[in-house]
Amino acid sequence: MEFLLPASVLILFIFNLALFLLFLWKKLIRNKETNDLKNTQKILSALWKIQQLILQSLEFEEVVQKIANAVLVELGKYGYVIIVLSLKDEERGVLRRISISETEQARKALQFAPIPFSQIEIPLNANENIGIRALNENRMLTTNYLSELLTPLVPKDLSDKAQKSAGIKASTVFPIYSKESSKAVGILIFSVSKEADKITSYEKEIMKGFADAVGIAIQNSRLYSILAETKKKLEQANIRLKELDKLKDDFVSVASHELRTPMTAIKSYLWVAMNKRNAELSEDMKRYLSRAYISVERLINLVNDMLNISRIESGRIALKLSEVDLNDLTKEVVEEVSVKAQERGIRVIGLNKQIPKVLCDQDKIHEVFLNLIGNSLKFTKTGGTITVDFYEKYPYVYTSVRDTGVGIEPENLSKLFAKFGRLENSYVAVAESGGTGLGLFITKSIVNLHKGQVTAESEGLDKGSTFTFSLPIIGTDIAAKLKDEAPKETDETKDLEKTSANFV
Amino acid sequence: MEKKKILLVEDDQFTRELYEEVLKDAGFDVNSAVDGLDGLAKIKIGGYDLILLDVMMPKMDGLDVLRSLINEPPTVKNGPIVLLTNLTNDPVIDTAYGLNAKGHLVKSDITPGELVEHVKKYTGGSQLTESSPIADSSSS
Repeated sequence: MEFLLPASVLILFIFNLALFLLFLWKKLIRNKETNDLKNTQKILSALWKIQQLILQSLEFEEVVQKIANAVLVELGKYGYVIIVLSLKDEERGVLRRISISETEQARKALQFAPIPFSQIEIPLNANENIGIRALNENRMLTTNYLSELLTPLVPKDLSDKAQKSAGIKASTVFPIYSKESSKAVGILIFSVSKEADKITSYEKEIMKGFADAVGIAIQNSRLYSILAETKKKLEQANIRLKELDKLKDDFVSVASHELRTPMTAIKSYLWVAMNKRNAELSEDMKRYLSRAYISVERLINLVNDMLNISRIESGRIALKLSEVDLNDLTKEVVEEVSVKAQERGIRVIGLNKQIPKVLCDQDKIHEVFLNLIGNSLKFTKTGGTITVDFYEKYPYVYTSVRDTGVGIEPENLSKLFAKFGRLENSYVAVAESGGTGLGLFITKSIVNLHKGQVTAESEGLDKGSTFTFSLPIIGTDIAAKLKDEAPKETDETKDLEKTSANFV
Repeated sequence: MEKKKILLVEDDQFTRELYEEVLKDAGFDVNSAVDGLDGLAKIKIGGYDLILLDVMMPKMDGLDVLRSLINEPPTVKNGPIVLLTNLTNDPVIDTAYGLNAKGHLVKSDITPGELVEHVKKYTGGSQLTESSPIADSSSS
């Protein structure tokens, strides 16, 4: 699944960027008043670098590490040696260390820490800790003692050793704000190798700027994290859906096998009851048995059609594509139905037309032919005619099956291809033939798999019907697309079951 | 003329008894088995002209019956083994052909009359159909 950044997030980014530029502008004005143009330019350039970092990378951990390092590059010449970012973890009630500038001094200070940096967690109620106070009181604080930042987690003697080893004289703590909350979400600690009273207002200004920049970075990163998490959840849901689809297909397979056992017994016993010699049946009894037999046949057809639909819908019907001459296929099908058609006194004609070959799965299009001609046979009276005709309209060959049968009312045309889309007045004819109401749906599904369309036309009741389906001509773009996209044979794919379509 | 011997391995009682009756009426000598193990034991006795073997059965399925026969062929020979199942389009059908099954009949697709026709074809002989009390399948 390709992951795209939603527009809403981009808008938020742009909004944040605008806020940030406004913030830069304010800095510029204020510093102009102090007439310290040189410092203003430096602040702008430093803050610009931070903003670039925020935009370059969206992974939170990466952004904050880069910011800690970048701030140090800017402030290093004023004696700043360590920068630490800590964030509030409300769930666990602690202030957690997130990142530390990768400097020699930081490495030295960490030597004395009794626990790894990432595990330094100060309880939010430890009010003796100056970091907690800066957080809770929403203001900048400065201390000369590193221990005040590490209490109560690190003993004072260890903190003092770390402070000495890293050459830190003072640390300034700034609260960090994010738009999501009016309270500070964390703190930024700047440790410097000079006394607290030597920190200039310019330095404080730039530290404050960095703290605000980190706030924006945090907000953007959180948005990104939420997106990343949502994406992960969607991917998992997608995998689960695929598994469920397979389970459904397996269930349908097993259930249909279980259904067939009793249906086979019913069908077989009914057949024997009707065909036993020396057991003369009354006309009524024959009718009862024959209707029960037709109904169980329909039931068996239904199971097969539902298996077919389950397979088509889950992409488990593969197409074995080849170049097919529809004239030849039609000839074959017409021969196949001729006995049944003669019994009913209906003529079936296949017109031989000059048409290009089409790309299709011959067996499946054979089923389509049988279904359409079979339907026409069901709904055409003795003496009627069924004609198979073709025409070419690039990039398709259109095949039509036209009958002189009962026709279809205009308002019913659209219902034909739906699942169980049988029309009210057709029930008896379909019931007698063992139809399921799924034949045209399957036909449509097969043709659609071939990138073609099926349509039905009729001028109304008793005016006959024409069903037309299209198949791509070989060598066309649509044929190439079909070749690319058609479901391929795998261990998972199966063939179509014998359907009610080939009742003839 | 000696009656052809058929072994019917089918776990569903109703289906088994009906097929047995219909085949006997058609002039075959029919023996039946109620599950895979029972079927395997009878196949090993040997001497059948045709074995109709269901696939999904308790105790031992049809495929395992076929596998056992490849590992330990019966000393007295049998005629062909034909699957008589309601599995369609299933990979086990192909597997079964690889294990010496000679054919595949789908129970729900055929009438008892058609079963008799298939059995006649597989046993390669015309049975004494005039004695059959069941009409032939063309009336179905």
